[in-house]
Amino acid sequence: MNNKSNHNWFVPLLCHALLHDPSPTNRSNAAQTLIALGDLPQEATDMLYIAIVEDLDESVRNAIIQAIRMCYTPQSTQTMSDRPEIQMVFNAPVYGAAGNIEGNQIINASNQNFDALLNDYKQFFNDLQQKYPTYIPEAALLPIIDAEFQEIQKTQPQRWQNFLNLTRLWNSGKKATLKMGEHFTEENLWGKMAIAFLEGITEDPE
Amino acid sequence: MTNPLTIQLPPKLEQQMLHEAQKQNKTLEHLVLGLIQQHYDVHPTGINSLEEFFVAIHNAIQSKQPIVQAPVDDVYLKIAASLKRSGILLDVQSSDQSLILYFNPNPPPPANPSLPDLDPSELDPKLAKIVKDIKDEDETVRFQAIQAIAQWHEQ
Repeated sequence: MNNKSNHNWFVPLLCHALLHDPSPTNRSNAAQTLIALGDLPQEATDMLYIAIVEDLDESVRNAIIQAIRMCYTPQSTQTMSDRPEIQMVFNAPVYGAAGNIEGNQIINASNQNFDALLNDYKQFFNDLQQKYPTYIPEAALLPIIDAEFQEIQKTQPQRWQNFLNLTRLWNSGKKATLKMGEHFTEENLWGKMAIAFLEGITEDPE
Repeated sequence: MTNPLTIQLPPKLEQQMLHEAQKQNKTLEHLVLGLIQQHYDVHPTGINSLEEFFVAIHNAIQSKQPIVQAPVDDVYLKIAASLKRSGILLDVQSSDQSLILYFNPNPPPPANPSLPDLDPSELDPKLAKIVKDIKDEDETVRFQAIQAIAQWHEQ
């Protein structure tokens, strides 16, 4: 059976799971896998939109949005009409400029803070990688990481706040000053996820 | 929800703004609000991102709200057209200022996706197992079926 035939089967099967599976985890997973398949017919896109607006479980709706983010690079500088058909633009919190009064002192303090935050974030993903040493498909990693983030938010609110602060620094231009490969290996799925989540963490992952 | 704000306008500025408000057939308050919204790039509908658009639609469905207004945007329009096809929306109207989504008070249940016209017994055994497992009673079996699709696709 060729890839096209598989695709013809996979899409409706996943749509069925997306809309009818009683388990929120399975619905999230189905949506993420569906989006990862790409090249979706109109019927499937319609069903994704139905799920985004109708699913009663917020974690499912957010998982779909997150999955869309993973497949479509957000470009906040684009105007609305320039965006691809399915693309989420999260409102990244604006990180206030340090101002000119204290100049370098503030910038240096900010750099140190950024390094500490980034190291902790890298540690979080290193720990995850050790916790899940065997191969996990990309679509299955998303709910795992989401769940781990939710756990952090509940049990270590300060650490969660640090992650949010890191994303603010990251999205306010810090990433441009870094060599990404020194921190995350994009060939490694976990590294890819770390970057994607860094660019897409929202205030409330639930 | 709105909050009142009182500001002291110098007489000359007040005259200029009143004149402008008259020209635009608006109250002075609406003119000022519009200028502030324009300055901060906040759309009067309160929807400033696609995420907020989806949330507004979800909330409208849950609270049986008949109408949602959104900024005029091609992406929003395509999504609205999709929701109209699905029967969630009765109609979508677009003006210069905003998109108006009219909700169906009795939306139909989501249609069942159509499967390819093939006899499952003729399928590759691995695919046949997925087709069977994805509707299994056991949640874990269904989870594994979805994972199998993801893995198959990645390979």
